[in-house]
Amino acid sequence: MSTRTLFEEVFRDEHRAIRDLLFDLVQAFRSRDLPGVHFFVNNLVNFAGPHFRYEEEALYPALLEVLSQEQVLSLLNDHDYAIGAIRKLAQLAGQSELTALDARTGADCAQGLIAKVFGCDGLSIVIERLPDESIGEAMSARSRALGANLDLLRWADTRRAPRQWQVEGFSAQ
Amino acid sequence: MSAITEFGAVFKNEHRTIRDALLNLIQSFCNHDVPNVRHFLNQAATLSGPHFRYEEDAFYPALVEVLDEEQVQKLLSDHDRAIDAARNLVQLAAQGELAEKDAQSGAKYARSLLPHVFECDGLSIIAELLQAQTMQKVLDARSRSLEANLDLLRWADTVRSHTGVLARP
Repeated sequence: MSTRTLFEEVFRDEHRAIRDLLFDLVQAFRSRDLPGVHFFVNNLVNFAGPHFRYEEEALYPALLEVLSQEQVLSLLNDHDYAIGAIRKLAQLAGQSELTALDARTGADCAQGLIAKVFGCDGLSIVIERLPDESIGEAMSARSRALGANLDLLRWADTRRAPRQWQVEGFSAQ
Repeated sequence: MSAITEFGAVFKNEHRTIRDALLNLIQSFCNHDVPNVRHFLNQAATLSGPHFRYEEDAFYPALVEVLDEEQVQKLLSDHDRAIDAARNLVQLAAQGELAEKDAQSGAKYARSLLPHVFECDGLSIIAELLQAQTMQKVLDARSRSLEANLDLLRWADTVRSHTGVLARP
């Protein structure tokens, strides 16, 4: 299997897994099932960390070959939104009980993230236009991110490049 | 081949073709190449007319099963913006020649359509969650749209403005 085909498969499978976690999480909030909420939020935070990381470290900069800087910055803004929403979900999951308002807030928050997942998955059609070298670099960055295995919030709070660095990196492309 | 698999394949291929027409259109604007601007714009409008139509007639209403109404309304608003951008592109393409400012505007309008293409393509992972029977209805709507073969603006100006399947706010 070529690196390109492998990347396409893992990229899609990761989005499928995040999609399913989010749908399960919406349901768990609606049922006010606190152990379920805790379980799915924990899995989401763990799973999304390496995924977001390799996207920002290798994939998004490579997309500048096809998309404008403004469009790639918009993808980073979507990540900011997702990190904020997942932080809120983690806070709700850490409570000892869920009020009706908490349950609705959590379900809305998780449902809102589903749009980010399909928006991100659609990038596969842009990725098809990237050279093999860029795909290889994205795969290597994915391996490093999986090796480091930082969950989303830990990565965002400790290793995620500040936006100014990201923009400067883009300008240097 | 199941309706879900068939839908996934045709949906992706349509997005690929529209993506390539848009990238060629951007390049044609950058080159001030009016004949090719017209050619690729016509190609994008011809391909996207039936595509938008079956999305709105059958696919988006089906998505309400898994997405919330606000998210589906956002997809319709994205179509509104894409149609507006297409109108601006048609106006530019009708000119006898392209000044530098026009070429830059045209490339910008065409580029603004790319996120719509990839965001829409990602809906295929949501389509995977729908029932085969629902997806067969979407494929049937696609066949009817291809048969009617209205380009994007003709569909938007005639059929779309009179038959909204989803209630608009």
